[in-house]
Amino acid sequence: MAIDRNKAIHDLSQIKVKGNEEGLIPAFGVLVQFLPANFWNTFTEKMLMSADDKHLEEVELGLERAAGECGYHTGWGIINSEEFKAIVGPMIKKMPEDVLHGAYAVFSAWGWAKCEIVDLVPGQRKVVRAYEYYESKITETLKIKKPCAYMIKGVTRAFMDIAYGGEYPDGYGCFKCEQVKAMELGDSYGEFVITRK
Amino acid sequence: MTIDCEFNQEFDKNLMYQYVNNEISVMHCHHYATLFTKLAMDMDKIGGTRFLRESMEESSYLTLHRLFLTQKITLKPDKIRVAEQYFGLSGLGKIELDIGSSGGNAKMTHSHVDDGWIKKWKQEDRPVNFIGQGYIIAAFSIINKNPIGFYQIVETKSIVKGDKNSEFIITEKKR
Repeated sequence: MAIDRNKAIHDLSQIKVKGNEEGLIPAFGVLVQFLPANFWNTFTEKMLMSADDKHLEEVELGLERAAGECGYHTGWGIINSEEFKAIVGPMIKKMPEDVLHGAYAVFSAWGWAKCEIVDLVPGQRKVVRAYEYYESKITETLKIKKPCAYMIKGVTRAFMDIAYGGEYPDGYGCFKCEQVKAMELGDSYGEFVITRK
Repeated sequence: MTIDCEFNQEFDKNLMYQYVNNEISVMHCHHYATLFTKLAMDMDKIGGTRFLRESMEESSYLTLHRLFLTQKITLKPDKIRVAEQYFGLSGLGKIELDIGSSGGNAKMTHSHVDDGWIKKWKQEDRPVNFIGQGYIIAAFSIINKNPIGFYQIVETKSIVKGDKNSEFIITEKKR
């Protein structure tokens, strides 16, 4: 990997984000908002608590899908942004693998999760570890029985779609993700295995 | 002297969290917000839209409470101004709050959720901005020194429906 992860995270994390005169944050081809993490977790918690067996799968798929589409479209916007090209661009030697590693620098710099790729079989399989992530904090108020890092699951499979799914915007949904370790269940890190469908 | 809302973004390089005004915060896009909203609407049979509004109300109540404390904001007009500014600084849109003692009105001339929804799916025939609704009733509650859940809100006009602005009427919940 040619990406200097620490430098990329440092530089990307210094980008300041706030609303313009219209109260909007147009960036990376999308509208961005910058909200407390506990808002997203609270909604997830309320939905999980209220969904019976009949509705639970629909809720979980919906939460992951939100992140999947976010990761695909915003991820595409990010890796094609001037900021990404300026900071990560000079480090890229091998396409698309270095771009993928660079995308995880963004993942960390934006506060989504302190995470990195620990294994990559180009085009086929990826393993991601997250050593800190806001979704795990749901256990502060809810006792859960299974992993619930839906945001990481969705975004991290979407990044594989961007890298190996085919031409944007037609490559979405080629990969699936399974969360095999979870800080929210007591593991020391979260682990996510992404494979081709 | 006019008080402006602080919006201090800091990054913890060890834990790799972004903080706004010392609160763990996260950037997401309109795809994320509108798909959460769509999920809430699709799952209204279990309380989805109410949960989305309440989640934002609970979160924003604490955020504004901390903001007023740390910035030492005590006067109602200053609180209203700062609440309006925070909404915009966080990217949720442009809002005007008219807060009376027992209720009032709010108007949005721009809305992240409505604009994002239109960008993603075009117009909708019903209001979709439950996130914005939650923020508004949180602002009413904290500014009028009432608890969470004190107010109810009706969205009477919506950008997502084709109206020029979104408009809201806020009243006390019947107890």
